Amino acid sequence: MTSRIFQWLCNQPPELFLQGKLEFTSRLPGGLRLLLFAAAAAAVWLLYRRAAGRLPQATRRWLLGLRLALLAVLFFLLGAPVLRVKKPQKEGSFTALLLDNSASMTIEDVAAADRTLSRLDAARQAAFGTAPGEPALVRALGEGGQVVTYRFADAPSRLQRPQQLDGRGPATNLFRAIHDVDAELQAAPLAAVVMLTDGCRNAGGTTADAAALLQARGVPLFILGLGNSTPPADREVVQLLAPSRVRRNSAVELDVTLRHTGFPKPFELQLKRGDTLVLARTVEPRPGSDITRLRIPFTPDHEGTATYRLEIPPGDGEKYTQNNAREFALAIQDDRLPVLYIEGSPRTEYRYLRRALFRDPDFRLVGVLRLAPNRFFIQGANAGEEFLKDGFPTTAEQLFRFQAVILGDIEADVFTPAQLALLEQFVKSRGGGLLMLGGVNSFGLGHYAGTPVGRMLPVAISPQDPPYSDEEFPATPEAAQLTHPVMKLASDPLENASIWNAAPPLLGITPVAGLKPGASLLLKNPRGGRPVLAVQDYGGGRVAAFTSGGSWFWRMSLPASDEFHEKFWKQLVRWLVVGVKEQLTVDTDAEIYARRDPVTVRAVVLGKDLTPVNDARVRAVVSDPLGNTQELVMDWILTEEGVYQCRYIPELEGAYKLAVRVEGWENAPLEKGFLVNPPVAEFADAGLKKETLQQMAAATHGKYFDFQELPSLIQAVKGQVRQAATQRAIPQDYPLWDMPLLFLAALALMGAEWFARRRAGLA
Amino acid sequence: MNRHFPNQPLDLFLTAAHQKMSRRDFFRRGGKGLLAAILAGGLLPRLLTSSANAAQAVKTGQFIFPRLQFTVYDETTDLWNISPIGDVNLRAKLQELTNINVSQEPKVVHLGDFDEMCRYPFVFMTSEGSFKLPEQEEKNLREFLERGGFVHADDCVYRGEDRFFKCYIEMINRLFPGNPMRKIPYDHEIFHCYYDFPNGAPHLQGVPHGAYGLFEPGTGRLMTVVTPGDLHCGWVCRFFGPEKDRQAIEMGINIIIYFLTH
Repeated sequence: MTSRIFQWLCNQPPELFLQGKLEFTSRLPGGLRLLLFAAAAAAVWLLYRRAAGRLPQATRRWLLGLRLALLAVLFFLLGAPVLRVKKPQKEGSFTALLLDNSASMTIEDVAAADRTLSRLDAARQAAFGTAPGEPALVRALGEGGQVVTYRFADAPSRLQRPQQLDGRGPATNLFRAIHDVDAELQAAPLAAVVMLTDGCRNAGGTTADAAALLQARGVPLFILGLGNSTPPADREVVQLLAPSRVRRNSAVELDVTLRHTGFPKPFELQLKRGDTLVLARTVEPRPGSDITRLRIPFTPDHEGTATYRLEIPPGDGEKYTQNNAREFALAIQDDRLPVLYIEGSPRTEYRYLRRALFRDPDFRLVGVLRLAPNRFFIQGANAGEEFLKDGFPTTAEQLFRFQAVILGDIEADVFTPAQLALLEQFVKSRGGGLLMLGGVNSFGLGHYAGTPVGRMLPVAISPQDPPYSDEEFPATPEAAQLTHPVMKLASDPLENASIWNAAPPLLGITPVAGLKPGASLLLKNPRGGRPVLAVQDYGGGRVAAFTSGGSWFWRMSLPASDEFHEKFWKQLVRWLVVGVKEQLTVDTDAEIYARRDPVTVRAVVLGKDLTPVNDARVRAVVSDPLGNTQELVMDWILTEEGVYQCRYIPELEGAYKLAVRVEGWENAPLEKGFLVNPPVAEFADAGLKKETLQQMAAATHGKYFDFQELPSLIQAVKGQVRQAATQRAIPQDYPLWDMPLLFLAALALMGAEWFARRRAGLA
Repeated sequence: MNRHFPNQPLDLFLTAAHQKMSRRDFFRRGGKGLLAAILAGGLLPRLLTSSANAAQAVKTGQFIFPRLQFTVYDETTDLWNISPIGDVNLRAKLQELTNINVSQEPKVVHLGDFDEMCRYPFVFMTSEGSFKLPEQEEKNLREFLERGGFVHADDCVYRGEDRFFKCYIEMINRLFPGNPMRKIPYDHEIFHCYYDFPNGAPHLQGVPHGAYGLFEPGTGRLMTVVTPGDLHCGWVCRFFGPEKDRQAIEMGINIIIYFLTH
């Protein structure tokens, strides 16, 4: 009743007067109004002072007061009074709702009322509700403003329908999700961000950076965590490092990292090529550790490119097997490794070294034996290598067709200074390998000191070195170097050490002063410690010094079935040529891609003298897993000499093959493979990252909630939306000049004054 | 690649052996021959015994030409150790005519001392008659060849026959069943690697089978060679005239160079 009377008198409800504030909107400044009021009040006072003799003082004061009150009402009205109230803008506030769509959300470990949900189903339920009356974020938050819904994995995108949540996101990037949503809603009045996620496996920017974005904007982040913090018992191939290309009959070593959370017992690891089991290994987890790292050697026996799969067979009730395997593509190079071997005269060491390499189809050994001054006996040369009848090559084009050079028992004087310099260029720039063998005319005895070859050798030499010694001695390996690729004659370390300990002696050695700084000593003569085998890198290539001329005795001392001698020389020569530049090399920016990830193919084209070629016509043919081919033109990229590039978007998952060729070249296309795999990284370390998410929310003055706390989350977000709306309220003015109260007050004052003047005899 | 050696010591020696000469020339040249014979005679005891020191280091910087000692059961006159002067001459010419670092030291090896024999990857074997190695020695020979060792077997030819030649082939074929020795074609590298022999190995006497070889499966490398034409007696430079002697020595050099390059 009182409220209704008040509202009649004042035109507005009493609550408005409590919310609002009195303001004057007249154009007359308040000071001027006050001055005018003072002047009017002074005039009234003067008028009533004139009548001071006729009126009693009390009456005069009474009349003056009434008149001043009336003036106050008039001047109040002149000020155009309004009641200013701030109204919250309900229609303008936004809430961003981000739903995690990465692969880890498919894990079923969310406890609901009577069942276990997948994280994705839990997100759908929390966002949209699955039954009438169920709390649902979209519905509840929509009452207080607009809700913009996104799904995110490696990047966010608008979510139109709940069915678009499919858990196929290859990775999780919380930073990008926050960043992109913030950017899209930059101009909108964003009240809060709500994120439904498990927080794993975050890649890209940090959660702290993501929180900082919202904190700077004053927008709190509310997170509903989905999943179980305790990682499920799981075995995983975490990492697999494998070469993409090897020579035929070369051993390959896989560097493997395994995780076996909750599985302490030994388990099997298998390497397969298609359905063929290549090898199996039993892995024995170390007590107290979830991680095992191991190296797995094997020798591929296929031609061309093949896809291998390293996997842990599912078993023991393992629930998540998507991460139990990794694949890699391996291409076999079937071109023979050309090696130039020059000897000062025919000798037994040449015979046996040639025999060790000749029997291996991966090597093409070209022998140049000096039979007399300026007379050479050539073996194994191809057409186009007739220049060898004159001895050692004299041009880069001639020499660079080889990948390794072996200098036998031949003195430096056989070569011109230009040839020795060319040999240095061969190693330094071409990346070729150089090996010098022991003999009566080798090393210092061969006058190589002070020459480019002497510079390259890993051993110090001098013309004053002692003469060649015919001594018989055991070549002792340096224990720390038994893992060197040259020295690894068996994959098992104990077996390898045993092989070297049982090695027959060598016969004969060229004494050298010692090892150069930075070089590695692999074998030594225990009598005096002189180097027998030393190696080092030189520029882009590698150099080895084998100071004995009697390794043939290894061959003759061991049974014919023992391949110690052959294996050693093959490994040494293979090791020498690792850095060799090819005329055509092909690479991709990764080995494994996700579907529709762009694949960048890069080819480097060099001429026969290994200088870059910028006008080649380079073509790449891509074969997809179904055998469909597509030819791509590779363009020179202008910023790098001899480099050509193209891009390809794979649409299918599986193994792809690339064949790159240069038009006009006789060489066969160079092959390379790459894989397009379904995302498995998400399942690594797949427990709910509660602590991280809590910190992220707290940094923005938001809050973290578990799935069971969904109602509390809804209330918290609603409160935040309201608060944000109040802070953004637009002021609204309600005019007060037409209040009946003021009219009645003026009327009452005028009436009271007239009555009082009449009584005083003035009216 | 025939080489002629005018004014070379060998030619003078050969010429003196077949021409009349003045007394001064005889004493001068005979003295040389006598000296050679004394040296050869002085070396004979060493040739008849195995190496005094089995652990003696092998001069890996040098090529060594050892003779294989074995038992001949035929009642022939020329046994395994016949005419060591032939070896001496061949080594000398090898040193003179090639740049191979040749050891002039004589050496005898025995299949019964297999470890010692493996220090000498090239072995020369000759006699007139048939032979039969003990079983272990045959196994050792097989292993020796499979490890990369090489045997040049030469028939010293008894009365124009080929007893040693046939015996050797039969033995090798027994050791390597399924891979019999066969005639080396005339265009094979062993006949052209240093000197040219368009018609194969020179034949000094005996049955002209032509040189036979055991070819390594997969590579075609010759593992052992048997020559039926008595090359060794040509190395002695006494029986067949300068031309044939020269060819014999040149073929011996070819075989050694083939061994060192294959």
